[in-house]
Amino acid sequence: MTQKVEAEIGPDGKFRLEFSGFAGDECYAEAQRIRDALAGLGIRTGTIEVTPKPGGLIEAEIGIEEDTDGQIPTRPG
Amino acid sequence: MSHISTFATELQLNPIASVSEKHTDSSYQLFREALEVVAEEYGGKVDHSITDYFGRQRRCTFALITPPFPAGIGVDVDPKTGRVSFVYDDYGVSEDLIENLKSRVVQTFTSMAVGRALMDMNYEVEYEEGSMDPNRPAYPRRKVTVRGVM
Repeated sequence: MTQKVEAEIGPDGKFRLEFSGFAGDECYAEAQRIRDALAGLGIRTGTIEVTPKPGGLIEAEIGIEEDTDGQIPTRPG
Repeated sequence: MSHISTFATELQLNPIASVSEKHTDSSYQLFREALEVVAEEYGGKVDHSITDYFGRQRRCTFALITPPFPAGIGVDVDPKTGRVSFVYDDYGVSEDLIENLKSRVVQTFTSMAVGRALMDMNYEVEYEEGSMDPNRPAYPRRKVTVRGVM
């Protein structure tokens, strides 16, 4: 499975990260790893907006059906 | 799940205890590299002092000296906090030019840092640059895209 991160950086340094091909909450953890790495390189980041992609788009990206209704996954037993 | 996040940025290099650390610290090295990229775009150089309207010199952590603004834009980095500030004498200099130079520094540094972060996380990285202002040829604003694939 190919995972992609696309960053668009504007003239003011503000930037937008788009994550594709990530399953579950992996992309949020990846976003945090990128922010931590940037802090070490001299760039502090503040979140302006976070937009989850629609379920259909995610299914197309990763090829499996994903639960995107925000419910916490539970395990039987 | 996949998502889209938008972030505001603030430049804050690593606090430095000694001058020699500046030569090895990754944030200082990357910032200097970004300044060199911008200097090359404008046919200029990176130095350590700027001059004011009267020709007086002022030392700074870095200075971006370019033909359109030979007096230079200085960059001061607070050694205790790492905060970055720009210093310059703008007398008789186009405000558009100064804003363009400053924004190119911020944008180039941010782009290079994002690319470096992705590379360190084992992504294959490519850069793409385009103009946001096709009708403003003098000092066009640019959009930089950094793509990481794993």
